[in-house]
Amino acid sequence: MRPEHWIYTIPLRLRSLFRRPQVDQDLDEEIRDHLERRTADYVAQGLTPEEARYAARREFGGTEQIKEECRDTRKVNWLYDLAQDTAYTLRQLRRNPGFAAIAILTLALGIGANTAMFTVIDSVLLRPLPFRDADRLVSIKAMVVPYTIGVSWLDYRDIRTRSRLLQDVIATGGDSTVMETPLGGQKVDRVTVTANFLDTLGVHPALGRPFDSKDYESGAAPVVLLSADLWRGRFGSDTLILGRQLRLGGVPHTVVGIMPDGFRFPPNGPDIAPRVWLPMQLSPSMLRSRRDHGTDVVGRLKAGATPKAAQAELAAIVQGIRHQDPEEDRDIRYIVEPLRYAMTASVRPALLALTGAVFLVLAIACVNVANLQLARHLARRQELAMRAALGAGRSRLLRQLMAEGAVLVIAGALAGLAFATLLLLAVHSLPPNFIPRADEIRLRVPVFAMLAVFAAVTTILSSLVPALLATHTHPEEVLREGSGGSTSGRKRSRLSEWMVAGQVALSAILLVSTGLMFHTLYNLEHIHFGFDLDRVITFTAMPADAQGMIGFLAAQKEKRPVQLTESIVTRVYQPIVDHLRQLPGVVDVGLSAWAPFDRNTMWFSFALPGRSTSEEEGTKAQICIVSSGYARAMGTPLVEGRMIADSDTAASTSVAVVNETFAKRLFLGRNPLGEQIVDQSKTTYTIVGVLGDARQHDLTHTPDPEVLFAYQQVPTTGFAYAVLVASGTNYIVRTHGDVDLTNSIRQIFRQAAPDFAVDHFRTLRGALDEVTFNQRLSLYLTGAFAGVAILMVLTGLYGVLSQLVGQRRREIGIRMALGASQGSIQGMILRRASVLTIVGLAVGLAASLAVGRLLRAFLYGVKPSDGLTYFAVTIVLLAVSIAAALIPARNAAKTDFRAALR
Amino acid sequence: MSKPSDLVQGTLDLLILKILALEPLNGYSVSQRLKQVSGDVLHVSDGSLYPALHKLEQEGWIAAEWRPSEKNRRAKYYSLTRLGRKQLEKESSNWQRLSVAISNVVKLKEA
Repeated sequence: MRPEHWIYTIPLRLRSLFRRPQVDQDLDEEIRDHLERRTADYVAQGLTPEEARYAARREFGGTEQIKEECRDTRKVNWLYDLAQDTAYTLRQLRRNPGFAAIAILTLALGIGANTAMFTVIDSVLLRPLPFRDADRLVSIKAMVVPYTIGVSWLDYRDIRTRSRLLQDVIATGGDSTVMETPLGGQKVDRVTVTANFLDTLGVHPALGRPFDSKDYESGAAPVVLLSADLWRGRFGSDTLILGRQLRLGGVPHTVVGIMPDGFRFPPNGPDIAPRVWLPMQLSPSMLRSRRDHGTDVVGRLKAGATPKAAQAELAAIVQGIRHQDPEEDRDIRYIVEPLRYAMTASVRPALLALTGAVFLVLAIACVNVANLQLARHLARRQELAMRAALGAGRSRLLRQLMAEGAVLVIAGALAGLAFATLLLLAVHSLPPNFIPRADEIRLRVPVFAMLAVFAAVTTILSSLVPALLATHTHPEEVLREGSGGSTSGRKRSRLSEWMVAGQVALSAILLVSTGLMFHTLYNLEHIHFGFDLDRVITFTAMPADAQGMIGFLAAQKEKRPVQLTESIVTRVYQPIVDHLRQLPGVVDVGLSAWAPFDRNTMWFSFALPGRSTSEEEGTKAQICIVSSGYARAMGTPLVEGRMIADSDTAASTSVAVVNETFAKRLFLGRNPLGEQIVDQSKTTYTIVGVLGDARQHDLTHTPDPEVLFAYQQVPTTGFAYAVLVASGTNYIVRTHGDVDLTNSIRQIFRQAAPDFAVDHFRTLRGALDEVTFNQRLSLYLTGAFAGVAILMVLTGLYGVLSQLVGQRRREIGIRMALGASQGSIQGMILRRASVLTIVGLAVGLAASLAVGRLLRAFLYGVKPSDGLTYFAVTIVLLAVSIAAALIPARNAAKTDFRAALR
Repeated sequence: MSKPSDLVQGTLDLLILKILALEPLNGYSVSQRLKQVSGDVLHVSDGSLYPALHKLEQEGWIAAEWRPSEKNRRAKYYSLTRLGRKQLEKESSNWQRLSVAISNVVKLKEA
């Protein structure tokens, strides 16, 4: 049925569309022919040609109207009208470029920001991870409340064999080590993986081969897979590297393959160092103890299984293990979450909060453009009334005004797309580990679909109400009106005013958020750190054979004889400290096992001699291994006794320096100097000094108890040496002024320890900035939004007040004639502005209280109802309203009241 | 003619289609034929006729062709299409049903 229909109608419609004049002419001809025939008929009936023609015409009726009705039956009319409207709109806009520019710019800001935001959300939160069946991948975390711990290999194995809801389960472990490259030592993230790793993820090496079962046998030759960017960056994409050997942590590994571009697993690790993957070798400790939590576990649910069900199943498996293995008495709880969710958890709250802010900006932009259009329609009301009087239907006029709004929005959307692209470029220039999946952020089809949605919604919000109001007037009323203004005009300006009050309210929300974040950042940056942030630089140094945890466990497994070699501290670290002390401008140099503001530290349990150091009875404290210059380099004051000295060597008594919090906790006000403490390995230390509390690891907590040991006193056998000392150290250098010593330091290392990887040069303040980066970025973004919002409020208020002045000209004239001074007229305008602002403020501040509660997670030391912020916002918005009102008020006062009264 | 009742307005399409089913005609002749055949009862005003003709053409139920007429002019002749024939059948049967229903109601005897 359908195709036949088209054979008749398509040529007809095409002709109506493209050969309109011709079709109109045909219509004329047809009507004329009809009239002639009727005339001829009448003549045949006996009338004169004149009378006949007159009769025929009268019988026919209103020719023009009938022709119009015939034209209305054409189905392509809507298309034709649309084209006409668009052409008309473009002409109008070209004649008013100022209006068009402001409207399009406003829309571009609002739509562009929202598009960029949505692109980030789509790429980071919504898109599935780039693995096979990624939606069924779940992360399995173990918790011993309240700490998250890794999963032991034995538990992993039991989960894999016993779970019926999890189809594949993989485990990864990891640490950092140094890889030897043609360009020198390079710190890498070393990830060990179980045998089902590549198959489960559905990924294969881009070059070379995956691991096979032989690689997993104990005693197998070490092999490694490189990441694509490591291969490109450090090996110049040399394909001959396959099969060659590389030293990793001092041990030669054969390169068997290169992973594809962008492959990154585990996905939520810090991405600063490039990655390599190794087969997971099982150490005796892993095979024996359930307390060796070294792995992260990821699984794939069977089709139809839910994370909650899997979590319940794992709880049952834990129960089974506890029955079986009575030593396992801890209350381990497993949390099963979709992998994508777990990965983006750190960033989701911020993204959602920013989305809210960005919507507010779009809403404010829509109100602005709506107000602009209202004003324009008001100015054109004579023209619109004329067209209505000439017979244009109300819906036709409405369509045309909406078309104008749509054209503005489309132009704004295209400009917004360009703006969004710029914003995304800026996003890509953020530090690499800031947003998970940052390199997947890209404009994709869903984004364009969303752009269309934004455009549609914006058109409706910004054009519908003005268009409805504009077409609602009666033509006679408008055509009759003078300069006094009609009642509907007054209603419209009332609406404009309340819309601006709404803008003030929305801006208040943005401003309050900005203020709260500003206050938070201020608090964060002015915490009493307990050390000096200025003129201190820090860097890390890693030896080429840094073993890390994995190397240590592997060495244990192989039962390699642990040599009593000379400590790397005396061999390398300390001599370089002395060397650095000689550099001009250096005040002191210290070593520390942890980098400043690094949250991954270690905790030991201590007690007085003779007491138990068990978890319940001992005092837990952070430990750190330091050298003599540490306190002075950091600027941490010594409260009692002395700091670790160069004379504290392996030969002398083991000493410790504690901080105030530790002293208070263990010694309850007694002087701890000279007292002894015991750690969990039953080593005794004598306390020789008490250091002031410092917050260098967790900014926002109250200081934790801390115990410092001497580098030179760590025995070269044992865990602490291999993992904490021989794997690398952090140098802290205090200088007199702002000196850049990077080159001198690198020079020293090149001579004294050429195979070391020396990097991550930062000032302490720079390190703090890295930690507060989150807050600072949020502050800049909301600040930018608030700034845009204020601009829009300023222009909105200005426009509305100018309109008000124009409308009330007669009233002003009367007042002035009756003796009102210029000042009182100005006051009238300013008062109106203030009323609008205060109403908007009241609503906005009330809404901010609710919003502030949502932001609580981002705040530090600031209540959501922070009085200072609310006060500041009130002042700012009142100032803005006065600024906006100045010129209209002046214009009002200058009214020539004689002209106004005429 | 007074304002046409809704009933007649809706059935105008039916009448035009039927008349054109018999032979192709131009607009004026359709109006004349209708008057003739209905014994002067049905008189379509030209104001309703031409919009109706154009609507039927847009729907594809009638097709138009221009034939030369006297004095070097041309006239537009409409004819029924195959689709139009189907539409005619449909509307005819609808009309039958409607008129029977109305008759039944009208014939009800007062109690």
